[in-house]
Amino acid sequence: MNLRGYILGTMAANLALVGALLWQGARMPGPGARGGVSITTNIVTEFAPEAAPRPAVVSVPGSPPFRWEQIESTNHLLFLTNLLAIGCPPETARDILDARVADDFRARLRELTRPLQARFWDVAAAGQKFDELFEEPELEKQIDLLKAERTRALAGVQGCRA
Amino acid sequence: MTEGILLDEDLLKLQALRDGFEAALARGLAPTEVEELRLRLAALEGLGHLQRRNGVEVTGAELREIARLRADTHDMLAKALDLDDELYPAGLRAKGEAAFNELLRRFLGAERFADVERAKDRLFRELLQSTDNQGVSKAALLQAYEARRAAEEQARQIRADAQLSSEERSVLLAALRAQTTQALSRSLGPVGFGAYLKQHGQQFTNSLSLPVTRMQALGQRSDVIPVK
Repeated sequence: MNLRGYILGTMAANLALVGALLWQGARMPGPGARGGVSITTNIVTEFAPEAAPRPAVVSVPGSPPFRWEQIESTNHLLFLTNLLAIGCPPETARDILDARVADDFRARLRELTRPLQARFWDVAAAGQKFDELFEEPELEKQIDLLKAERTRALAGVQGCRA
Repeated sequence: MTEGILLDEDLLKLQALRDGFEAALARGLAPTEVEELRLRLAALEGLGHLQRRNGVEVTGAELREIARLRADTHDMLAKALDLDDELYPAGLRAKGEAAFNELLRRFLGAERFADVERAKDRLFRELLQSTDNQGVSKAALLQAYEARRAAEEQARQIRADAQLSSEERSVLLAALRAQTTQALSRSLGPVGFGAYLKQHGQQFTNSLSLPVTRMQALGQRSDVIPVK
């Protein structure tokens, strides 16, 4: 056999092989269609799925979705009543209200005494006692009112529980 | 900690504690509030003597600026946690103090800086505050202070002099008290000196006398001579 004949023969054999492979590929079913060995040839980096954001609403079949705004109120007693109405345990409701009353008191006291903050350096330079800042009758009266309001709010929380 | 000695790992923990405090402040407060806190800590921790009541003419705005100088030369958060001594070697702390004093001297000028230095001394504060509103001039007050300070130093030397017998010490101290009494009365005037004695007469007498325990041990009568 001469060289030309050998090359032509090799080419014909390769073409036949390619044709056979194409024919087999066309007949290959999709992955998972039937059992068999599958080979994964690439590396896949898996990402943990992010926690789905907590839904803003809680859907109970057969009832309209619950929204926090429905029970939220700046009126402590009303807020407490609403908490109890949706089945919040009384102890938990009281804890929530106690914390809210304390936060409210702190914020309002801070606002009330804000003007005094500006006087800190003058008081320090004069060598006065800082306690004296609070000894203004009007301020004392305001602070007393604030304290009384806090006491009433806490008493209301307790009374509502009883 | 091993037998009261801080190990390197302890220091790391203390440093972490201090840094954690700073981080917690940063989480809970605005940057301007953290800065104000740092300055107020400086004012309350190391500048208590720096006030008009102690003879230092300073405004609130000036005091805040001085507090900034102190906060920039000291770790106020470490001080607030009482960790300053552990976290910084004595040499470094001394450098910080020296730097602050130099900055303070430049900020206030020589005269007011001298006022600040005097205000640190309890003897001066006692003289100043007790004679307040008694018409005592600053020059007279300074004169009285120098006499009072010199007497304190002389009394210390007399007490420490091992060559002296107890009787000699008593006599010398009694003479010193009489001499100082005259000097103070002359400087402050009768009204001012009376006001001073009314508030600090006991300390004045005791500081220029033998310690009571020593006199009791010697079975001696008190060598105290009433000054008024």
